[in-house]
Amino acid sequence: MKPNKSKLKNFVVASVLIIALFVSCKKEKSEEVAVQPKSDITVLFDGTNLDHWEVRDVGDAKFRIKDSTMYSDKFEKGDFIFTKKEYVNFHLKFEYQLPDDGNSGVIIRAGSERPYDWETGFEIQLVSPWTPPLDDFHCTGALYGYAAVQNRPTETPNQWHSMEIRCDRKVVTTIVDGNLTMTVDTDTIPKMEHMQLKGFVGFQPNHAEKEGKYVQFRNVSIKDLDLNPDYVAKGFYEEDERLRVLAHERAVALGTDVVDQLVVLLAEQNTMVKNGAKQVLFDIVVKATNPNTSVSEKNRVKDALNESLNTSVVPDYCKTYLEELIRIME
Amino acid sequence: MGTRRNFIKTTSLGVAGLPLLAHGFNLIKPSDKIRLAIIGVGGISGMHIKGFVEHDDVDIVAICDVNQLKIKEKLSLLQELRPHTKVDAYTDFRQVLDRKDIDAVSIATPDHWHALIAIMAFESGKDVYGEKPLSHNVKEGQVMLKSLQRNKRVFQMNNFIHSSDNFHRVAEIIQSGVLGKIKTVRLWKSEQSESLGYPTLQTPPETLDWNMWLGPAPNEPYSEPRASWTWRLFYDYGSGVFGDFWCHITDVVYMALGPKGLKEIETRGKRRTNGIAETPYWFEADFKFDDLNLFWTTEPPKEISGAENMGIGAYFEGEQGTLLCDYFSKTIQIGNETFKELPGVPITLKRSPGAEGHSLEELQDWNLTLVPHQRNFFNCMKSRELPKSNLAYSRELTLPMHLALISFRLKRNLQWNPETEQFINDPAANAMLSRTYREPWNLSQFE
Repeated sequence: MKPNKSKLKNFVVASVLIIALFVSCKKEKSEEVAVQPKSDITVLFDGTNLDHWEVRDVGDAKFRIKDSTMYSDKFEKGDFIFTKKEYVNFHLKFEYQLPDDGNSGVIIRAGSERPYDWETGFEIQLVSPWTPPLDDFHCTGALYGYAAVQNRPTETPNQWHSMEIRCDRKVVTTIVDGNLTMTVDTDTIPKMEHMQLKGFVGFQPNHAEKEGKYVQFRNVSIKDLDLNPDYVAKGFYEEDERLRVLAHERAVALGTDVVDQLVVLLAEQNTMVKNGAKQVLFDIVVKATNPNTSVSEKNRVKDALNESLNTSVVPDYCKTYLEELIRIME
Repeated sequence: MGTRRNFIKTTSLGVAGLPLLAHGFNLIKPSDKIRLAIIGVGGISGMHIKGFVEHDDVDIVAICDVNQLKIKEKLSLLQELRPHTKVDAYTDFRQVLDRKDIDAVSIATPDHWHALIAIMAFESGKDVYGEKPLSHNVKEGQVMLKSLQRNKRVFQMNNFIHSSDNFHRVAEIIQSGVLGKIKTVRLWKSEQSESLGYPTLQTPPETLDWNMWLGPAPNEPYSEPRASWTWRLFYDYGSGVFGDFWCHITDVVYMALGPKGLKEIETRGKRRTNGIAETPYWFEADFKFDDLNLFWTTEPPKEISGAENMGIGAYFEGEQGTLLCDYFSKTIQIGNETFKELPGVPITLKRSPGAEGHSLEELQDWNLTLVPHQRNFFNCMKSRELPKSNLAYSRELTLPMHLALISFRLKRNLQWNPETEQFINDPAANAMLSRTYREPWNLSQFE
């Protein structure tokens, strides 16, 4: 009823949050430069191929490439397109364009079986303006049906918009056209408890039934936050057991790169963190000593443990543990 | 100080390879009293003590523990059971081993202390009654056997169900061949261990010598679940529910069949992810021997009728029939017929003495079940014969348990060479057959 005042309020909130987000991103970026030589950003779609993707439930229609965009013109059986890789924590960026009666979405942390979005993962909505207008739980940028946008974005059809989706463990943030749209801690939504924290990222085709009306995507890239050892190490402090299990899994995948961070955790007074680090260091050794692992990889892990032993400032009992791990690797 | 010096002198003699005590040095006549000390007087030792006091020729002269509260508790138990016996209390087991008037020690410490105390007892000329499992790791068992043989000592492991009539009878039935060749044995223990949560690190209580509790195990800040009975769920000290019960139920397989030529170990398991407990709460292991497949599970196998409610059990699958048993019962199935006993199978195995005068029901009282097994040990101390669960036997029995946990921890199947006692093509697995002892404790000096 008071559009001006409400808009102003939204603007102020959004500005504060955007600055906060910008600052935090920037800080993280500088850390990554220091510790993360590998690229943690994957271009999922550059306009030329769908190599990173897998089309599921193929009906008559399916996602394909036209004018350097990926699009699907029918809903049919579903025709979802999903990443081949599963993600836990990530920052996804892409551009999209919807027709007049467009209705699509981004599926997050989905399982490999239908229904992808309701049983396992969730959906970030992409939609054109409806009559009557959809509420804030179902408009573009909302965590569909569960969390409303705090700052409603422009939904103009037939033009390109940009969207970013950041999944930082339990905190989901959406940014549309550079403006913070929604940020929510999913722990505050009891109905989301059953949803998995790891899964595939997917695009929905357009729901519209009219021929020739379709959703288009371009410039799709994803930053996998779990390729950053500092980020992964923080996961061992998470109260949710599932997040710690995932941090464990990601740390084993990182191997050598996360050894220094884990050794610091070994000295923690918090037995949850300490025990988590102890177990994951052991499992890194398990992987490295597997007869199928190359000798060079095994040596890399051994060198990392030795280096950490010599350089880390940790109590002697932590060093004893490292020495025992190194002994197993000899 | 004098005690400590004696200890160093004793061990250095051992290094020089001089036999400390020739066989017969402290020979006990059948009429003599055996002077026994108990090292480690936590929960399980109450049961040991109630069994030991049943033997009129055994005096309990000393007890030892790193926890003064346990000492107090067991002194009052002994006061109650044997009001006229004088018992000395120690917090350092080396002082017990220094006493020349003590003939034998019973070791009921956590697993990580079993081997070293037993070896040092052998080196001081004492016989040993030791808790199961034999040792914390494979290497320790090997050194124990060398030290025992070098010092001509008597050792019995406290897998006391070994001395039960039931296990002897199962072995007789299996060995008679009435069930045909046994190709497979299935074993289980249905107990899922806790996670223990995430306790805060604490200063050890004044009444506990935490450094001595840890002994050869790596240093670690104290927290209550490590030092209480749940120590078993940490690899530094124990081997979980699996290792706890392995020696009890697998014993009947070793008695009946003595499996040889272990070749392959395959394991599956799950560990808790919401607490500091390390050992698996759910575990399965498949062992391939020359002539036998042995399977361990955390639940009774569904295909065995009658096993559903058995918390622990063994199921022998023979070509002509099957036998399902636990500690005190057995059911034999041949064709469509079910038997509780096969009177036609002759009694061929000598039972442990000491069960006489007690009914089968009475012997199901845990405290009394120990008596025949302890009696067998005390008799062998006097006769210098091999007890039923002697070191060579109990080492063979314990060994596959260690190998299975190594396979589980390394997340891979392992190939074993029983002659060299080494894994094939897996140096990391071989490294886990032993561990580094924390100073000043040292195992290799006793090899």
